[in-house]
Amino acid sequence: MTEYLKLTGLSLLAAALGVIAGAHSPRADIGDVLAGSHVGVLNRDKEIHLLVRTIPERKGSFLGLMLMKDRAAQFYRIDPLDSSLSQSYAMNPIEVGRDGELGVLNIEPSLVLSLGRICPRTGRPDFTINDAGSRNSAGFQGSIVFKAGHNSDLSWSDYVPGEFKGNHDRLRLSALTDHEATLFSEQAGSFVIREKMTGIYSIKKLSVTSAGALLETRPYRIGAFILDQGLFGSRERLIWISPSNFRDVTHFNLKR
Amino acid sequence: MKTCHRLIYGIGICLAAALLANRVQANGPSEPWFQDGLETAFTLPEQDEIVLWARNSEIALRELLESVQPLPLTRQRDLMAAGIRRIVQESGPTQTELLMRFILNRALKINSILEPGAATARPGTLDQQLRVLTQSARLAIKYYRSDLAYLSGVGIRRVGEDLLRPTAEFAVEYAEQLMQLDASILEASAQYKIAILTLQWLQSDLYRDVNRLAYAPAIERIQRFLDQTPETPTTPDRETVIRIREIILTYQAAMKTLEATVIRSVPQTP
Repeated sequence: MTEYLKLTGLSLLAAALGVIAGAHSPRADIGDVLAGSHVGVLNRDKEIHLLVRTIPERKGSFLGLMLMKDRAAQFYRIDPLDSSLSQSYAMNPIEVGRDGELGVLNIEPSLVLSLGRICPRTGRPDFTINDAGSRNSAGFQGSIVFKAGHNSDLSWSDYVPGEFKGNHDRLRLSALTDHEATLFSEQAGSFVIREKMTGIYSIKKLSVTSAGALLETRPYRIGAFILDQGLFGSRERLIWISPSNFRDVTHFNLKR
Repeated sequence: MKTCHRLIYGIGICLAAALLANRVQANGPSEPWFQDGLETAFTLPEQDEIVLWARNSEIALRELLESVQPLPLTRQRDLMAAGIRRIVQESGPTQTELLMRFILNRALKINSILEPGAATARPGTLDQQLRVLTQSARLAIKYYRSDLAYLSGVGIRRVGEDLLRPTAEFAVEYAEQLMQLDASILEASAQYKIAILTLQWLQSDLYRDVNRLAYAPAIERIQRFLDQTPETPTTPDRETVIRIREIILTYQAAMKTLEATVIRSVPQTP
């Protein structure tokens, strides 16, 4: 009987340790839990979404799209802050440089992401995002709390050709070949849409001059495709963000 | 008493500067990346040949930039790379120390680092390749004038009897351009290699300037960092990303010391 109790005790202890270890071991490949769609609260009252993709050619880092529906959106490169597994990440806004190319223009992060516990039931992490306290104030600022298992109804999808409808404009997108396609806007004319980083597109206006058709150097908009899973089914969207103002966002819904 | 303190302080600074200057003169930047071309003494026929090469290259670059514009991006990249390679090859066996030649040679090196190994290129790779080739061609055209002036002995400006070229200005502008490109690269290994090359070339170019002693603090700072940093990443991406941040911080610190010393007389390339 005593032996049996001892064995049961040991089993219980092992199981408890297993749960603790299970809660911490995913830290070694944390990308499995951070990649995906999260919804959090900005400054205690505003709903905010963070859509995260892994970067295969930069293991341990991510691309992030943070957005408040219809109001603001910003792309980030999310890099580990140190080589230990402390799980703090620097979030650097991806912006348009002088030569019209996308990149991290300021090495100082604007935000810092800190991972908390990983929920053993869902395998999803709690995490917070706060101002980095640096001189970089591009994009969102404030304190954002994400609770484990609070998944966003949005997901960051790949390119979708077809007709899209916004409040004041209609767009027609051709199929993507070698990361490039044409985009025709009823209001603004012809554009070339080009994938600059995985899931991040520059949209440049095509101007016709005496020398022929030329692309403007500075992008007219930066874009991404998102899948919105509502109560009555899912819907593909194209979002346009102004390269000079992350609060200037336009949504277009795919016409079925 | 106050004057005495100032005097001691002044002597101290002079001694420190002299020590630093001696070190920079003695060591110079380490060899491996110092392969841009060092020949500065030419016979007259050689000089004529180089001037002719520079003139022809400037025309060829302008034509190249214009002719590729209406073509698809892949074709643009291929033609730009082939055109630049041809121009560099035509410079002959003479390893001339011309800024134009440095720029074109280096463009080919960066292009090869960005070359995708896989059949399907990642998004952005082609854009960055075309960006470095095009910007390099424009920069080469810009510095062609100073090269020509240097070759024909006219000089951009003179201090006493020294013939000055805008080498330090070039060093700063070129490093800024490369670092901007580097900021767009997501692939950890390529970003690391290009950032290291930028530091190496910045150091070499500053060292080539006739006023190199004025840039000794930046040269020394870069050298100290490079001494402890491998040229290619040897760690997993996660650690490479952290090393990249250190490279960029070293670059920024070096550029900060150059702010006051490098005077820009050549207009910036748009």
